[in-house]
Amino acid sequence: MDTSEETSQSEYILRPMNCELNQLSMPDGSAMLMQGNTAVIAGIYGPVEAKPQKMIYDKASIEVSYSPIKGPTKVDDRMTEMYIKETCEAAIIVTFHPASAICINVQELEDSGGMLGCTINAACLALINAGIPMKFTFAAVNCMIQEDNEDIILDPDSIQLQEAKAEFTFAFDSMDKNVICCYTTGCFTETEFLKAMDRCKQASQYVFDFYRNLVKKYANVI
Amino acid sequence: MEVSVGDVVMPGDTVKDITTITKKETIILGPGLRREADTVYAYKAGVLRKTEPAVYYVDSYQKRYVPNRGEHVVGIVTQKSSDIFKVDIGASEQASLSYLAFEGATKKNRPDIQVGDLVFAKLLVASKDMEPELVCVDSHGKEKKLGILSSDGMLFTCSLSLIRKILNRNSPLFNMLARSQAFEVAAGMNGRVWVKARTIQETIAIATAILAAEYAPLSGIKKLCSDIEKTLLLTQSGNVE
Amino acid sequence: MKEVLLTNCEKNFVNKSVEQGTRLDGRSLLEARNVKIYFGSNWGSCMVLLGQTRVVAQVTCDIHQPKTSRPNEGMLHINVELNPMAAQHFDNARQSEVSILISRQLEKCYQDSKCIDLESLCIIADKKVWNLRVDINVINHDGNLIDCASIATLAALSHFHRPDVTSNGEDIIVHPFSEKDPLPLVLYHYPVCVSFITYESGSTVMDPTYLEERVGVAQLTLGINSYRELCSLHFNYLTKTMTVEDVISAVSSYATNYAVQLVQQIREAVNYDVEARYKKDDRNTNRFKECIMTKKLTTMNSECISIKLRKWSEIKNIESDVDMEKKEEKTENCTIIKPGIGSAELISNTNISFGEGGPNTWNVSDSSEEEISEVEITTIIKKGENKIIENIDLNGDSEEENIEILETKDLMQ
Repeated sequence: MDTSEETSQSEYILRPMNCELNQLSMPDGSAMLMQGNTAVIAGIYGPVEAKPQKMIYDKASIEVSYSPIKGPTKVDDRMTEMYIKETCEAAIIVTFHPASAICINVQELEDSGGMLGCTINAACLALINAGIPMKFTFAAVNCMIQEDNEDIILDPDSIQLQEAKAEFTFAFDSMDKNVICCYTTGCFTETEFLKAMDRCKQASQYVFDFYRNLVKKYANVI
Repeated sequence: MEVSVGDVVMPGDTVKDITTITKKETIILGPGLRREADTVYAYKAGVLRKTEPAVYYVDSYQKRYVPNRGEHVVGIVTQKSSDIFKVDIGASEQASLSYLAFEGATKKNRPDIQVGDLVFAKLLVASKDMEPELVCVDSHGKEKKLGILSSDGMLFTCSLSLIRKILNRNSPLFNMLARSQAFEVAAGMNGRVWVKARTIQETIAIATAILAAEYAPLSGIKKLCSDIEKTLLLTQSGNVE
Repeated sequence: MKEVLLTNCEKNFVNKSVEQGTRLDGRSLLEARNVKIYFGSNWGSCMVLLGQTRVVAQVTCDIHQPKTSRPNEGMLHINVELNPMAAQHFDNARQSEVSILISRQLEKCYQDSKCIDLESLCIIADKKVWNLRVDINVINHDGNLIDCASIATLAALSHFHRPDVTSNGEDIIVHPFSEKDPLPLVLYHYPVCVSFITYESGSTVMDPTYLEERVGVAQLTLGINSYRELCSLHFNYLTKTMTVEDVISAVSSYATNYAVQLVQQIREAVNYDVEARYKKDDRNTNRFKECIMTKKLTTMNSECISIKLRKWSEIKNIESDVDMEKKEEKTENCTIIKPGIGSAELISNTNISFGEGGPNTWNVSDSSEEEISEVEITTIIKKGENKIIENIDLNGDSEEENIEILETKDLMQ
C-alpha cells in the first residue's frame, strides 16, 4: 500500500520503560520490567526435564504460569497464560530441545494498565536473558480507543483506560512485523481495528530498539 | 536487521558477511547461528564473533548448560545402578557414566563412588535426541585429569560465559592467583567449579575471586587478585593474634 | 523438576567452615543479611529483598459477613504461594509442605498473637466486617523464606490503608480514596520471625542461605515483637541426628535484639513511604522503580518516549482493496454471493469445476432489497425432491439374483 499522501504525523507517547535483566539468582533467565507503573517480573527455567505426561518427543514443551498479586489464580489469568504461551511458541525454536520443557513464570507486581503487553515484553526479555533459541524477538504494544472523541491512545494507564471504548494489545515479531498475538476487548469498527494495529506496529519498533540497546549495554562485558 | 562480525545481534537478525561469501569455502556455523535456505539467522542475543579461518558464532550469556560432545563437565552422581552411574550435569537430562569408563576398572574392580560425589568427566555422546554419556578416561584409557573430585573442596555454580572466560588461554586469572595461593580447581563447562585450597578461608577467597571475575575487565583482574591476597593476609594475621 | 542433589563436598565444606566460625558469604555466624523494602503504588503492596531471597506481598480488603463465633471482629487471611520461578523444584500443582509450613508460621505469628485490632475492622456487627487478605508470593529462594515472608507481611500490613466507611442505619457507604482519606490498620504490636539453623557440630547460624539450610540438622524459628515478647516458636529436626543442643537459650538474646532492630527498620521505611505519599512527593527512594534504577550493566531505563507515527489513511486503503477485488474478478472470473446478511461466498463462474461443487442453490429470498444488486442468483436447479417415489424398480441394478416382493398376506400364513 503506498503512503505517499500521508505527510501529516501525529504524536504519541509511550510510558517510560525500565528493565533489569538477571535480577533473580535462581532462574536461568529473569527480567523485571516496568512500563509506567505497571510492573512485572518474569523468570525462566529451560531447557529442563519435562514431566512424562507433558513430554513431546520431538519438541520442547512450553509451560507458562502467571501469578496475580491479589488472590488465587482465576480464569482470566489462565487466559493470559494462554496468550503468553502461544506468543512464545511462535518465537521459540522448539525443535532444538526435544523432550524437554521450557518453564516461563510471570509474577504480576502491579497492574496500572496494559498488563498483557507488559507480561509479553517481560517474557521476551527473560527468554533473551536465558539464551533460549528464538526465531525472532517479539514486542507487544497496547492501545485504546477513547469513548468520546474516538482518539487512539497508545500505551494507556489505568486512569485513561476507564474511558476506553475498546482496548487492543498486539504483539509483533522483529523480522517482518507480523502480528503474532492479538487481544481485544470492547466494540470497534474494522477501520478502527486496522488503524490501531498500524499504530501499534509502528510503535513496536521502539520496543525492539529498547531490547537491542539493553543487550548492547552488557553484551561486550559479560 | 543485518549484522556483521563484532556487532551485537538479536534473535532474527541475518548475518551479512556469510551470505556474500562464495560457495567454495566451507563455513562453520557455531552456537547461536542457524541456516535457513540461503540465509543465516542468529537465534541468540549476544556479540557475533569469528575465528579463523571461517568459524562464526554468537557469544551470549547463559546459565543453563546444553551438552556438547567433547566438553569437560563437573557432574554430581545421583544414582547407582547395575552397570552405570546416573550423573546430574545441569542439563535437561541426566547423563550416564559407565563403571568401566575409569582407568583400571574391570568388572570385578569397581570405582569407589557414592551418591553425592563429584566427578570430572568428558562428554562422549551428546546430542539433542539422545541421553548424554560421560567417560572418565581418554581414548588411550588414561585418566589424566578426569575422575572423582575429593570431598574436601567446595563446589559452586556460575554462568557459562564466565567459565569460558576463565578457561580461555589468554585469561590471566589463574596464573595471577597461583602466584600467591596454592589451590586445585576443576572448572566444568556446565557452569560448575570445584575449588580446593589449604584452608577454608583460602578456598572461599579463590571462589570469590572467580565469581568476581565475571564483571571485571581484563585490566581489573590484576587488581582483583591483589585485593584477595591482602584480605587473606589480614584474616590470617587476625586469626594468629 | 527435582531439587539438585546436595553433594558430600558441599556438606563437608559448610560443616567445617561453620565449625571454624566463617560463612561462605563472609558474615559472622549470628549476622543477618541486608534487608531492602520497596513499595508499589497501591496501598499495602511491597517487595522485600533479604539478600537474594525475594518476596512480594499484597494486602487487600473486602466486606464479608463475620464468623458467627466472633460477630464483631474482622477477619485476616494469610496465603503463601511459592512461585515456580523461585526454585526449580517448586511446583504450581499442589501446595507443598514448605508453603504450608510458612503459612502456618505466619498465621501463628500474626493471627494467633492478635497483633491486628480486628474489632476496629467491624462495620456493622454480625452483618458486615472487613476481611483482610494477605497474599505472599515468593519469587526467589535463597534461604530463609519464613523471615523474608514475615518481614513482607509486617511491612504490607503496616503500609496498608483501608477505605473509610460511613453508615447511616442499615446502609453503608464505602468512600473511594479520592473522596475520603483511607485509614491505616491498627496494630497492637509488631512481630517478626527470626530463623536459626543448627549444624551437626552444635554451632548455630542465623539467617541461613539456601545451601546452609540444606546442610543443617535442626531449624528454629522465633516470632518476636518490638516489646521483646515471644509470639511464636517453631523447632524441628531436618534430618536424623544425634546432636542435642540447647539452641533456644543460646540465641534468644541475639534474636530479640535483631528483631527489635528489624522492626524499627521496617517501621521507618513504612512511615517514610506513607508520608511521602501524603505529601505527593515523588522523590522517595522506596518504590519498585528504585529496585531497577541502579546503574548496573543489565538495566535499561528510558524516559517517556514521544513518538511520531504516520497517519493511517482510511479511504486510501479501501480503494486499494476494491481495486484488488476487481482484479481478482477479471482474472478468476468469480463473483461474490451474499446468501444472507453478514456473510459472503466467493464462487467461481466457470461451469467446469471439479470437486468444488456447484453454485450455491440455497434460497436467497432472505436478503434485503438493497443487496440484490450485489447478489447474483444463479439458476435454481430443480432437484427431484418433489418426486414421490411410486414405483421401485428393482430389476437390473440389484445385486441379488432372485427378487421376491413379499406381500403381507404371504407373511401371515
